[in-house]
Amino acid sequence: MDQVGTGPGFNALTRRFFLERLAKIGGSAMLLAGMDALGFGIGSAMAAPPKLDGTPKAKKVIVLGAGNAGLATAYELTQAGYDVTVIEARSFPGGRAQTARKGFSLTELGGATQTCDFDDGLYINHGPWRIPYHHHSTLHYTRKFGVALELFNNDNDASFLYFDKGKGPLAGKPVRKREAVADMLGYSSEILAKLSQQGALDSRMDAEDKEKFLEFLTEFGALSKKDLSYTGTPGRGFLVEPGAGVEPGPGKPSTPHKLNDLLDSGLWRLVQGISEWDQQRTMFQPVQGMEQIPKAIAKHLPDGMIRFSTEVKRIRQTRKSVSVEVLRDGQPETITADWCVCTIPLSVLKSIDHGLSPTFADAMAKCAYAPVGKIGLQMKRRFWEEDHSIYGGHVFCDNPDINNIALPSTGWQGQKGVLLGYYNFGPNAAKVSAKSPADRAAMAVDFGQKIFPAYQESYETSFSVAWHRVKYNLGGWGMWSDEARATAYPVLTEPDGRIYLAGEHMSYIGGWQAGAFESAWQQVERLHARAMKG
Amino acid sequence: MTVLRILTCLPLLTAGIAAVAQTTHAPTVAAAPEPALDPARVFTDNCSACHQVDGKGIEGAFPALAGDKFVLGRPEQPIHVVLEGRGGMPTFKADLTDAQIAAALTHVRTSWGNTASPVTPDAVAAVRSGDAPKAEATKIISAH
Repeated sequence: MDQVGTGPGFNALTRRFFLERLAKIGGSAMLLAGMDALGFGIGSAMAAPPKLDGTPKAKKVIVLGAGNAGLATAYELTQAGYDVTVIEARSFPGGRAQTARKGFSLTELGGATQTCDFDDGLYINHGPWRIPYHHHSTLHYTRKFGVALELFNNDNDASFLYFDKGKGPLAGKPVRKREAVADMLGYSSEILAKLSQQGALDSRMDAEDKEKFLEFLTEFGALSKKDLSYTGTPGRGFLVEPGAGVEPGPGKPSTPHKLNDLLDSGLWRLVQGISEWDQQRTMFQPVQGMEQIPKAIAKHLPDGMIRFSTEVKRIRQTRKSVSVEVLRDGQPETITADWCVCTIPLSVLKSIDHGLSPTFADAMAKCAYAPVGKIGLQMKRRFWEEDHSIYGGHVFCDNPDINNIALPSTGWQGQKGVLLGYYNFGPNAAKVSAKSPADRAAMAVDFGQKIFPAYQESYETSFSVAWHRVKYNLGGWGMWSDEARATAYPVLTEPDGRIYLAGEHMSYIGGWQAGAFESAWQQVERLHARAMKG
Repeated sequence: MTVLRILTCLPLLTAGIAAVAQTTHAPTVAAAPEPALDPARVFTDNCSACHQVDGKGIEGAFPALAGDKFVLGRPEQPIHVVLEGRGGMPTFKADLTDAQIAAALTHVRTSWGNTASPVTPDAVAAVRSGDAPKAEATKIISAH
């Protein structure tokens, strides 16, 4: 990117000139990325797979892993005329993009085997579970292969926040998010408006701007036009909701919490003006589970291209070819190809006899993997909808063993539902994962009971995963320290001989499916350029 | 400026104590518990899910810590790995205090027949670059 103009003369470039240069250097995908960067609309960098024109001279490719990165690699290369073989250790495609439903079985390393016994039609996405509207690559495949989407409610004003580590009357009490947000914005606006009126901001704006700014704060914070005070707003909810006739008629307004109480409780931590980039509305999920995406791509690969239940044992390469020794049902076999795209997580690849250069191996060792845990709890009644009018979204809390309880964005108003009982990371995920599946569920249910009175009595069965203990993943996603990102990561984006690495770990969209897809697209484009030269 | 801050803080602090005193339903609020520093407990909580309670790990995935030369060698090495992560193991530098890391490593170096020296919080601090996390700090995590 340096050559595209970030130097001192950059400001002198016109937008159009900049975009033309980008298109020349990086093709249409980079052009789109550049348009995003200039404010034409931001998205994950690549909006469409690379166009692979021409007939490659060396076209045999072995792809290691049938997760989203491997599937996209296999699909795009097959379309371009390559002869592809995909090796997959599991008996199904998708990698981490899994959906647990009745009969789905998982054995963690050092742990018990769980077989999911949710009712028919109920499921939990225990891997990736949401798709931001700007993840163009993921949405490219859902569109292309007709994977039906539905909205994932990622931000619910009516949901509860539950903080029990703070102080004061709001600690340890479920508080509707709308109340905390309305009150924090209201009080902040009131303070700022009053300071502004007293002249505190006069050095920063003239009289006309000050008037507009006061108008903004009055609307933003729902302040009284008369004295700029905040005394509540219908948006935070009612004591008695409006209705028919004169009783309840207009209803009764609610009273704001005290600013000190909000600050003492810690609830203010979850109030933000704009969501983080990755968490904004609009958010999607596939109808009937995340596994629909990898399944749809796999369906569009030639029959038999993916060799399931086949483990990679040894990888070697010469100047002209790559050979991979695999084991299927105890039977060894060696597959030779011109190129290899390896999508195996680095946490797993490090323990395979990979034969990669010492520089590569050192760089791989610098990528840490995230301990991550999730649990799905089947509830016999959708009490969050029936009793609390909470339709999807998250209950955030300050207990890091739980972090958030997420209510399902599907099956609205049905009888039963599966909710996410915790989503934990790092040491907390490690700690919780040391428990048996039954004890994990008990911990999750005990916590949920503090928020929802019907939690315990509605609980039926659970399915949990600790990704760091899953044999073919050994972690939720790759994590690069700043130092490793600067030194090791760039090494791995280059091929080691004829072997290319792809996957979410080889992107800046780590942990998201879009990272896997776009990494695959990038490596496929580079591999093709080289294969065309022979 | 410092004086001003202290002055403005005092009334708030008093108000905070009064609020706690009036609260009847929040026993958890009264005093944040000291982070557990029992070496076995810290190890079980943070390490045993992978390295196993018996320190034997799982072949091909999680290295054994019992009898491991790296673990029993100069303490700076395992301290660095716990802080920064390595080859699939996560970084713990943002999550565990120096005292907690010292406790976990002391357990590792003195259990299952291991007889290396205990690790002190100061030894961890000497390897750590940047600030240690505060015990019981609230963190907002950016999830996927």
